[in-house]
Amino acid sequence: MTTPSDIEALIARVALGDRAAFSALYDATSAKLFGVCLRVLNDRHEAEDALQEVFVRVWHKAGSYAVNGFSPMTWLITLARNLAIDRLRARRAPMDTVDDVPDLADVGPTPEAAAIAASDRARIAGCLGELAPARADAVRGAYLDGATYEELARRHGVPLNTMRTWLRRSLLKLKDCLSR
Amino acid sequence: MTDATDRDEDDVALAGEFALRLMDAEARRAFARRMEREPALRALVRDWEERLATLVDEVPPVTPSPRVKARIKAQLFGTPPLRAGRGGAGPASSAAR
Repeated sequence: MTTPSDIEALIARVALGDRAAFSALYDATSAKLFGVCLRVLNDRHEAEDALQEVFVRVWHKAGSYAVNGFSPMTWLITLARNLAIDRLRARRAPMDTVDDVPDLADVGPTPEAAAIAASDRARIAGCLGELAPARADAVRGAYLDGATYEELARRHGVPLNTMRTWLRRSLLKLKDCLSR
Repeated sequence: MTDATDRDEDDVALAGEFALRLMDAEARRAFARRMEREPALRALVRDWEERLATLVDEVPPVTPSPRVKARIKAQLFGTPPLRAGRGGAGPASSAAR
């Protein structure tokens, strides 16, 4: 069993160029991250390419991890999800999707790390449970499938602006519930 | 009326949309520019990323093929990728990527 502090220690060693730590980090996290890529891309071959890109980035960016305030798995999951979504959208509309926006990790330090305690982990699921089921599904679809507003609107059979309103209200309700 | 609370709510929702990758390209760039100047905004996004990342608890882990690790090591360290035995497992195109 690998704990978050084990993962954190491995990332710190990777930042120093430790290849054994990199290999151990891969062994400890690749199945989860591959699951995330596969969920977004729904194609094993593309998900493998995305996973390769994830770990190449991890090797090069491990040094910047310490300042961004993410807990270790969040950093890795966010990296994997974002790279998978980049591929998904490039596949659909190659002209329009070059994402030149830097990752949060590159933008600068955030005030104070906020690792989510195990007891809090269930809370987003609980708070999603307080939303109407279709609205909770839309949030899940956006995060786990990388769905756009257009796709979510189509899936749920509502106009685009209705979906935007749903989503924004859902986010505010979630935030409210999570900070209770 | 836009008082401080409305603006705060807007930023909470915008930070969530940014984290979910729901913004169009122009809105995303504009928000990223604000993030560079406003640490509080970065903290909001970070908070959403932390919260949302726990959703992957419901995604089953899937063990990737060993060739992926071999390809990564080859790309980063120049160690030769796993040989896919003669008469080959796996398509050559994937080994060559």
